[in-house]
Amino acid sequence: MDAAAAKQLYEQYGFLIFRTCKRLLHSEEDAQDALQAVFLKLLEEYHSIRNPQRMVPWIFKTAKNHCFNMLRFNKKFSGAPPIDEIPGDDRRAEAFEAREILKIIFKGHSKKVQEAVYYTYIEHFDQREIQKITGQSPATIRRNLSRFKKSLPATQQRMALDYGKP
Amino acid sequence: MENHKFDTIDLMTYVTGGYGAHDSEVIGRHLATCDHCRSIVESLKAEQTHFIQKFPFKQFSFPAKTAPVPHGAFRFRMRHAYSLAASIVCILTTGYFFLIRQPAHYVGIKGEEGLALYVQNASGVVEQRTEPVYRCSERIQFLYSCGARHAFMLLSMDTTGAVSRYYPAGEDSSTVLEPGQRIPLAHSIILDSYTGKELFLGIFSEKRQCADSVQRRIESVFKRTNSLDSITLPGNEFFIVKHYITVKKGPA
Repeated sequence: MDAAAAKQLYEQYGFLIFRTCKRLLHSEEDAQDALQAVFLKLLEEYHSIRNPQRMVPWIFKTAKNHCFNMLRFNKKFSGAPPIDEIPGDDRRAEAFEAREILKIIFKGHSKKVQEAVYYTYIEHFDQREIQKITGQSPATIRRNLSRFKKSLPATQQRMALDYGKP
Repeated sequence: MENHKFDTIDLMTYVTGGYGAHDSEVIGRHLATCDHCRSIVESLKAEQTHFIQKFPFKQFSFPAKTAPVPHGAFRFRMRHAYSLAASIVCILTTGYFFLIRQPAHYVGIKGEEGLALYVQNASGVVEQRTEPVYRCSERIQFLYSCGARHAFMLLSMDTTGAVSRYYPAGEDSSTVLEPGQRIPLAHSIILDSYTGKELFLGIFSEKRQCADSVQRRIESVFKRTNSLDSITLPGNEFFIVKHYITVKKGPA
């Protein structure tokens, strides 16, 4: 794929990737990194996604998976710069807090439950839209959401203990 | 939810040009009559325009297009000479290690300590604590010391047995450290919201180790003993430095 075609794809789909990543990572810098990674994946797999109508669901799924991986592997920001070089950064701390809350909320749930919760409460999609992206039937989505709701009191308790937040 | 003919995914596909002429025309006709969908499309288009202005494509660098492979007879180039030389060096080195060099029986860590721990507290002061008590969101930094080139891994384990890997980050085998005294590791670590006892394990070895395999071995030791105090790795190819810390919440 040449640069012109890549540019066209970027202008078509870049904003969708970026908004999805930013919602999960709560940091513009990290969302830009994620955008680059997901966009490169898009360029690699573009020819295998034959139906252009499947592109938007593919983007949501891939960007979400990439960001979840970032959240999981950067558990304690092991990539943070050495202490001597930079002082603390408030924006970084806010993003850190938001990510920690997300991790606590999603902790212990299966991937299907996480997907149902993420698309319902963060992306605000309805069940028909979630079905298009994840392939889960509306009944499965409802079941997964109800599992999540049942676990909420325990999650709240964990957040209060770990983070001082109800 | 109102009863709309098209959902947000459809409208996003429309905005990104994923539909053919016929479907686009159908959606265009619907937009002419539906204020709700039209407002979604307009906001998506505005977001798209804003994004392109803010993060233009030129920010990304893609690998240059490679020249087409020439057809015809093989031409010996300098790169072939380099490849040949590199192959010979590899073969000789492998031969040296397999035939001449004796296997290592122990890890020779030379120096007063293998791993020192510093912390930057909430007010930005960097210190080395006598009591191993730290607070959530404090930033800790390890300094290593070793007398020879060694492979290294840094793991942590909490009381639930959950293992986090910091070095090697995103690689399959352990990181190689150059010899020296009190050299800071490349990254610091920000303590997350976990509170309680935590064990940081600096694992030095002479040869590079498969990170996943070492992690699994440590996890299996914990499963057997269910105690952080007894974490160790059997065999004599490892030298382990342990730092037990207690993480508490709130400011110091």
